[in-house]
Amino acid sequence: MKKWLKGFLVLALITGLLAACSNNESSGNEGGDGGEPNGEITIWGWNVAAQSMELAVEGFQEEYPDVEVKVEDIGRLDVYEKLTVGLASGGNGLPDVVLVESDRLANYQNEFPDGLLNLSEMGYDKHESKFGEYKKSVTQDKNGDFFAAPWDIGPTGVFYRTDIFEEAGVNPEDIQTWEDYIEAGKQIKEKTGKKMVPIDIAKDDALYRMMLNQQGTYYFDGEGNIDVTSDASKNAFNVINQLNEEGLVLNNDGWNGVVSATVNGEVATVPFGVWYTGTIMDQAPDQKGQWGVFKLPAFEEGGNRAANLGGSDLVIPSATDNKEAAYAFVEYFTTKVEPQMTALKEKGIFPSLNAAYEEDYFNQESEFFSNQKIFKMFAEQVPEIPAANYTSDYARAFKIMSDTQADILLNGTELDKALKKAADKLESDTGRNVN
Amino acid sequence: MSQLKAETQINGKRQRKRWITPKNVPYLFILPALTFFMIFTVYPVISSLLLSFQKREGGEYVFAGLSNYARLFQDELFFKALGNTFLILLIQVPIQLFLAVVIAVALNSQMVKLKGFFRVSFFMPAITALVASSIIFMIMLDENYGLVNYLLSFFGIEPIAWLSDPFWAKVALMVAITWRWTGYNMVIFLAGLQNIPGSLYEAAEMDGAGKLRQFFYITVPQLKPIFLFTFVLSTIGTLQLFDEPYILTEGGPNNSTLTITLYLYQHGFKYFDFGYASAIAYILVLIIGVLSWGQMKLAGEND
Amino acid sequence: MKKNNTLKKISLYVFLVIGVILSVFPFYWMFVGATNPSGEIFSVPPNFLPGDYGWENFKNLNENIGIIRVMGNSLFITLTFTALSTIVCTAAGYAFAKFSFKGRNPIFFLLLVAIMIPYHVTLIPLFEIFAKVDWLNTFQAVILPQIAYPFAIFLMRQNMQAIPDSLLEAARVDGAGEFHIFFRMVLPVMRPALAAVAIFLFMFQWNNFIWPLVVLQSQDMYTLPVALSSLVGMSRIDYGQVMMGTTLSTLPIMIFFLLLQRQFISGILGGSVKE
Repeated sequence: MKKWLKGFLVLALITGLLAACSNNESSGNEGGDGGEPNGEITIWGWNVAAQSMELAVEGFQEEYPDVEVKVEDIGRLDVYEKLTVGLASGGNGLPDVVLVESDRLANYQNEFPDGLLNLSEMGYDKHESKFGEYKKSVTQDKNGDFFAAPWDIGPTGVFYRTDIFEEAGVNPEDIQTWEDYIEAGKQIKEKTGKKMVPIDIAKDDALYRMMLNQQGTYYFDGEGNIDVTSDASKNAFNVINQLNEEGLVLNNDGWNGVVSATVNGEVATVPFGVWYTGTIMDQAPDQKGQWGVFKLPAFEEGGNRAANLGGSDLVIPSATDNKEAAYAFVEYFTTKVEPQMTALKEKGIFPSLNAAYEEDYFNQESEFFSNQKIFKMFAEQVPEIPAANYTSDYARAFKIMSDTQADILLNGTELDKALKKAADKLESDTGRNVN
Repeated sequence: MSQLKAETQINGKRQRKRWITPKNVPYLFILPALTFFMIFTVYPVISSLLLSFQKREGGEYVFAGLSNYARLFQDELFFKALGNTFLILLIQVPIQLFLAVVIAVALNSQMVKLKGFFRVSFFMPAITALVASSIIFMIMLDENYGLVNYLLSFFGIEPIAWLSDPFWAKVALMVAITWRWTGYNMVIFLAGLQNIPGSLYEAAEMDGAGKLRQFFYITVPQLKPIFLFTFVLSTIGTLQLFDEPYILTEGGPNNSTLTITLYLYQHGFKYFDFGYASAIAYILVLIIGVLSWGQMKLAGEND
Repeated sequence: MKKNNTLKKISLYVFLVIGVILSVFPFYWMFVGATNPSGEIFSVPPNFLPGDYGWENFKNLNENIGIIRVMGNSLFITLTFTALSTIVCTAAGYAFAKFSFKGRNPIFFLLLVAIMIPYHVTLIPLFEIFAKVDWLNTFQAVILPQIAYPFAIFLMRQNMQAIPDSLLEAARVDGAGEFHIFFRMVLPVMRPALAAVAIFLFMFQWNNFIWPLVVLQSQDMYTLPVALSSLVGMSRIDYGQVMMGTTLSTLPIMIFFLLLQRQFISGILGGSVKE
């Protein structure tokens, strides 16, 4: 009996102690009103992006010596779970800065209109001219106010194996249009037996999305109307469908599948965003000199070859108790050239800040990519990437269009029919109009 | 403190008044559990139940009556998810329980040595963190480079699209679940087997009944309550199935592995429609409740 | 007859060994992945042998997520939780099994219903509770919510029912206090059941993912599954490190099970299902 009581008391004590210990974690001093920003800020990001922010802290503190920065490295999808719960419970437990992928921004902004700080009110508008049209289109709201600060961007390219191309006698420079691309694929398959492109047919419509963006549209048009039955959409699926019918598509399971196809050299090309350079170099270090990149083929001779896939931006939750310091970091990290270059050089993250492209680094040749000036190639695209209206229903549309891709490629459903069905489903799920 | 004193003096004939009696002590025993349960389970449940009658409009929740539930009944995908879940329940659960019972019987045989080793080996999949096993499974089941297809190729079997073909994705999902939970159920059966009196088998042996007969006429009937127990557990587990499809297939291809809880998750955490997600949850609770009740009832009447 | 028996024995072992290989192979393969560099896991034909890159993976892993600290967090949380929850659930199970009191059946029914509720819907209200008392990013926020673990209470109740009422009555007649009966008489005979419940609770908390993920905010507070998940980034995954982390995360739970498995088997259903 006595023992029992004692045990209970000890437990109560431990719990109390724990509470006391861990409470001092909470977010530090309040930001100085008026004076220089000070105090501590916390940032959520994932993986190499979080590491890049960590690298930027030193430079940031040279300008703002009184601000402590703590970067939490969280799994990419985990960031969203946490952000969602935090915003849904009225801003509880959120950090001062969060990294969010561009295509998810609108969903948060729309669902939690008061959850994210309006950066324009903090003075971010003065940086407007420093970014390309695409990046502005995803970080500004309807009124042209910034609710996120543009950070990295994913200009696209077709990564290809130089040795396979050589063996098949295909010159990448001859690939100007998607038609050329299909022809090249056929030749490569005939000569080497390799397939042309890996696609995670059931779960990811990345190639389709690149093609939509390339043609200046997306799931939804600029007004937010459902646009998946447009000519651009049909063109895109036409090409993908042809690739599939010619047996040039390697169907992959998820991200791991695409990576393993790349590592094993089972595909001649991988069309993706610039960030894939890092993946190839990490997972297939022995294939140095066997890779090259060219721009996405156009849909017609001389057409646009620039598009975006991926990229992320920084937001400040309104619940932050130190918005001056948070804003100071965001402004420094997204508009100064130095942190951009560090992220690029150290972690392979491609900046969207125009001024960064002036740096000499962009003229360097990459040994891994057969001495091509790959970064220059990607940088040149940026001003030409068309705007994209992801909207708050991006997640639904992404799911439905990936299903549609599977419907067309795996079940052989006729293209127009499948797209019509997708549009109808989107209409009933989102209440938007179909074009 | 004073009942302490009372206790020490009990030896004497005088029966002092006790403060803790068999009448009130059960309340003391359940008090800690009940307190935790009320705060951390009942409150959130009620709160989310209320949410199922609400809708979000312009960032604010507004009362929406039964509209979330009404919407559910017209939602094709919800029924598809329901169908998938029941298909798994009808096919995977019996296979898993059958395997579990067979392994348990084999392990219970006196001929087998190293029982501890076998037990632990079979139980291991149940104790792995999901983050871990899922990555391994994805790599192993990869259509083009996965180990499984590599091994199958030795038997002249063409590569199977484990995760991207609607049919095989379901199979892969069931295989993954079976892998993870068979050992768990096996251990429960093993516990049950050890409670069957050996005399029953001895008597059967004397009557000349073979092992197979013994299995069907003694083991199975004796294990009946355990079948019920594991069946109810597996039913609940399957109806709440989330982890495997979330990580292996994300419900695809074309929703062929979409389960109810995965669908719920998509609405809550992807589309921020928490009201609708809550409605799905409570319909699911209703279904599980009715099913479990039915299973118990059925088993009861058969006695 | 003897020959027949040998044949039976061999086929029995063959069956069991095949089963064991199927169960354990993924673990072995995980180990192979943990001791090789990242891309190796995709090589064709597959590499079935452990490499010598294990230490390197471990060092990188520790640098990345502080694996040692994270394991310490996980151990502390899991053990505290297991101890607390076992006591709380056992006491409740005892009350449900051996006493009849007002409200017993409705409360028990509520507990059973709780098993059926998908946890995703309760995340946000639960989060709000801890935000209100300013306990976000604390260990107790991870430990407390599931202390009253319905399945554990259920298991304990089933097991407790095997204790004859006459035994308890006799003790009462002898003048033993209620707590004395519980701690000195009931708990000792319930040892196997306690082991079984402890394993279930340990398993649950050790692998608990979504709640710690949501409620813990700083990396130095992370539990193992949360930290492992943070290794899976946008386009880069170091598979060697992931496999190493996975291997390490499996070890403690295996040890815990090995220690308690004998009791576990006999305690898992104890008296319950014989009714």
